Amino acid sequence: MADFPFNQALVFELLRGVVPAGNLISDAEGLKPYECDGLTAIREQPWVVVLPETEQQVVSVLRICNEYKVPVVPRGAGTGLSGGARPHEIGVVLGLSKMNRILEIDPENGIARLEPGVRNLAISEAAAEHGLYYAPDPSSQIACSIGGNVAENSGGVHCLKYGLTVHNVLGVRVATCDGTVLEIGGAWYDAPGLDLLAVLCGSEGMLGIVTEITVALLPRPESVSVMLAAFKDLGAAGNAVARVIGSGIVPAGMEMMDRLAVQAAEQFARAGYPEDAEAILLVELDGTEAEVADLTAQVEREVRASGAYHIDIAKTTEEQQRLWKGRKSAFPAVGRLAPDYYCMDGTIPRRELAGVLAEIASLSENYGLPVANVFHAGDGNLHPLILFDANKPGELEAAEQMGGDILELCVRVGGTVTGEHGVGVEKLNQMCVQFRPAELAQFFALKKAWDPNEVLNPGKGIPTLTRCGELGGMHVRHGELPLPELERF
Amino acid sequence: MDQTELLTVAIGNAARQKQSVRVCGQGSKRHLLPEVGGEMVSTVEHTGIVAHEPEELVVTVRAGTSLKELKRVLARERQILASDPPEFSGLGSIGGAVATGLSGPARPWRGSIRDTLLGVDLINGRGEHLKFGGQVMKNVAGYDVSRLCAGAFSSLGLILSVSLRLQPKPDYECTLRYELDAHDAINFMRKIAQKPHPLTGTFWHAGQLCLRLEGTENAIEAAKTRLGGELAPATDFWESVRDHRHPAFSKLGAGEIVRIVCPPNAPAPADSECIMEWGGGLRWLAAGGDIDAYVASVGGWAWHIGRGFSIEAGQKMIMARLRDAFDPEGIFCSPMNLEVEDAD
Repeated sequence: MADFPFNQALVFELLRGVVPAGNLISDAEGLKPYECDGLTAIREQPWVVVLPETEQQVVSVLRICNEYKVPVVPRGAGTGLSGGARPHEIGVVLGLSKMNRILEIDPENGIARLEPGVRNLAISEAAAEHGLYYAPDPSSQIACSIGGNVAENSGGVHCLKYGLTVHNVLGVRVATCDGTVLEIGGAWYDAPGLDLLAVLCGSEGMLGIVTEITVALLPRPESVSVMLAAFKDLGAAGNAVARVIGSGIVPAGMEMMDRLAVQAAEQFARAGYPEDAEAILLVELDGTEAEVADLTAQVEREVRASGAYHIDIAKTTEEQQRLWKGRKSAFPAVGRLAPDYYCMDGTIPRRELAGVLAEIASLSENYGLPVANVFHAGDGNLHPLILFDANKPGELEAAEQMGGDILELCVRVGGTVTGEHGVGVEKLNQMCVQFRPAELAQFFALKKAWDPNEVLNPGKGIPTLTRCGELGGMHVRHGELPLPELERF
Repeated sequence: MDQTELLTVAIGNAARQKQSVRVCGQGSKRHLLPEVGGEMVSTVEHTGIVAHEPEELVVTVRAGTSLKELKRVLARERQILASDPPEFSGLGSIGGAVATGLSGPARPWRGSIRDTLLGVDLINGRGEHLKFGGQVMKNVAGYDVSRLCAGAFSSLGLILSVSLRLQPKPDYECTLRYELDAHDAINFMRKIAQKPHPLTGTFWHAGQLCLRLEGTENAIEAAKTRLGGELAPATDFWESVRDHRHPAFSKLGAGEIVRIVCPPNAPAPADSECIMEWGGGLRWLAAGGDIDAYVASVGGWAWHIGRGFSIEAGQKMIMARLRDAFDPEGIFCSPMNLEVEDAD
């Protein structure tokens, strides 16, 4: 049984007093769905789950937890992939799913005001009647919530051109651990003073609880084209990415898949991908009709010059959806090739793409585990999928070790251990490779400025210096955590 | 010249001796906020482009590098700083541009300098040389300290170098002119903002609205036809707006000028000389009249040039604690006032 350093019965009664009956869950069956987020391999039963319906209720819960030093784990839709919403055994899960109202769509100022539980896709659906949409589109957009997007600084296929969550959020109302509500920014650009909004984006629920979000809405592009370019050589595809961007074009999206991923996707989705390709690129261009026509011709020239042997340009919505279908189903398709796969999320400078892919291939050979590469090539965000069978002795450990090697490789070439999935609990060890002790200490000092009692999502995001020390300083091996069957995008 | 070591030692000494310092670049934006004390630590000799790989759309540059020099190097590869920071009096360093966080006329369409900031090297108030972020577009490892440094007026430390995402320079540019009063100009700007036009700047003053269009040749031709207006001759008009050399700024008077950031569709203030940029979201006014009441009624915030801006008390408290987290001895004298006043 967990040891509670606070008066459990008292805190329970206090919490019961601030949320409606039924919104405080403490029975084992009711707690079950909250044991994990999208990182399903890591589970923990929370002490209680609280589901506030208003900002005032959030504030009351935070005041109680701060006073009695009860850990608070915020949770949006629970689609996160790094265990950021993993519960604390003596803590409260603060679920924001009931705060899901769209408060305002203001087409004239191009903004939407939202509660944190609003689904990402629901924003664009609500804005559609005005010809507007919300640009960041994480693959989980049908389910993930805008509050969670702020916590993770979520990206998506189109963030190459339109930016991440941090670029598209104009303001938030945020409740700090002592129950103060701050209104930062709003329906205008930039806010005075230190950029609290920037530091809240991607803070993984460790600084405050966002209770309202103002996002920018953009006009829907008038025209879109999607191009498939196939290559007989992986390096040539990598160089094509550099060439297109170096020529002055920023595509709306630019995705790459290697041979194994292409074959799996084609057999699964019948998207019309050439199965003899070593790599394919999908390039989406958008803008006005005239602009898209210009850019499509220019991109076609560049990819041909880079050695593309097959090009397919989809102009109709149906054709475009067909080409995207293969990419979008790549993860489940690869999932059919082996009982388990382990997905990485490193980002590298684009110029390193060909070299890193070659090194991943040689790691794959050394470990005897196949790797399918599916990634956001335009911004260098890699999602190598390591295939293995957890039932075969040693394969899980080998996959983890290889994953660690890949992330270290990303850091070594000037990249990062996580491009969009977050650190959560999953990549704490790799953070020790990327940051030095003084930088980690600075992160902790920043955290304490917001949350002096350290009640908000303790143990996530930033590894303690002790943890890094125990790992042996710079060299991290063994991902420590069992990670089969993860669904990643 | 790389002065990383020298600057690190200088700040380290100040930290040990608890000596106040103020960080200064070229001083071109000194007029924006009140002067502060402390011994000056200058970054102007700490110059040079550390890395620029055009196909990466990223540059890493030392803080003292002048905006002119940086823009010149980028122009060779047909690239630009998306936020187009101002060069008041023709001066300014990239470190100063990041520290003040100001953006040019394209801000609503191309983002602010904070938006394009990918990484910083910083010396904090303990004299520690720290690295945050990096050169990659997507990076969610650790808190976003890089962007926190943008617009922080050196309150968190001395910025040694920055990595910035770049933008390709559009092939074609043109400026369209319209005769419209303030009310009609706001309506027109809001209407076109809801459509995907290749817009990258708006400027309104004294009954005249100017739009900047940028993109491919055919995109610009098509947009011209759709948007009408009169084609203005190609000049350095948008640079003059950015750098406040445009005569409209001197017409605001010799007194204090107020910079207001507000919802773009906010009505223009009655009976007051006014400049509007950013599709209506940025206004410049002469001080006088009840500006605070105007801002309170439309939303947003006001920056009295030379005096500063007010920050809501709750946020200021967090900001002051953040500053203390980076600079526990308070050695960095920042012109941005984060002192929390006692409640009356």
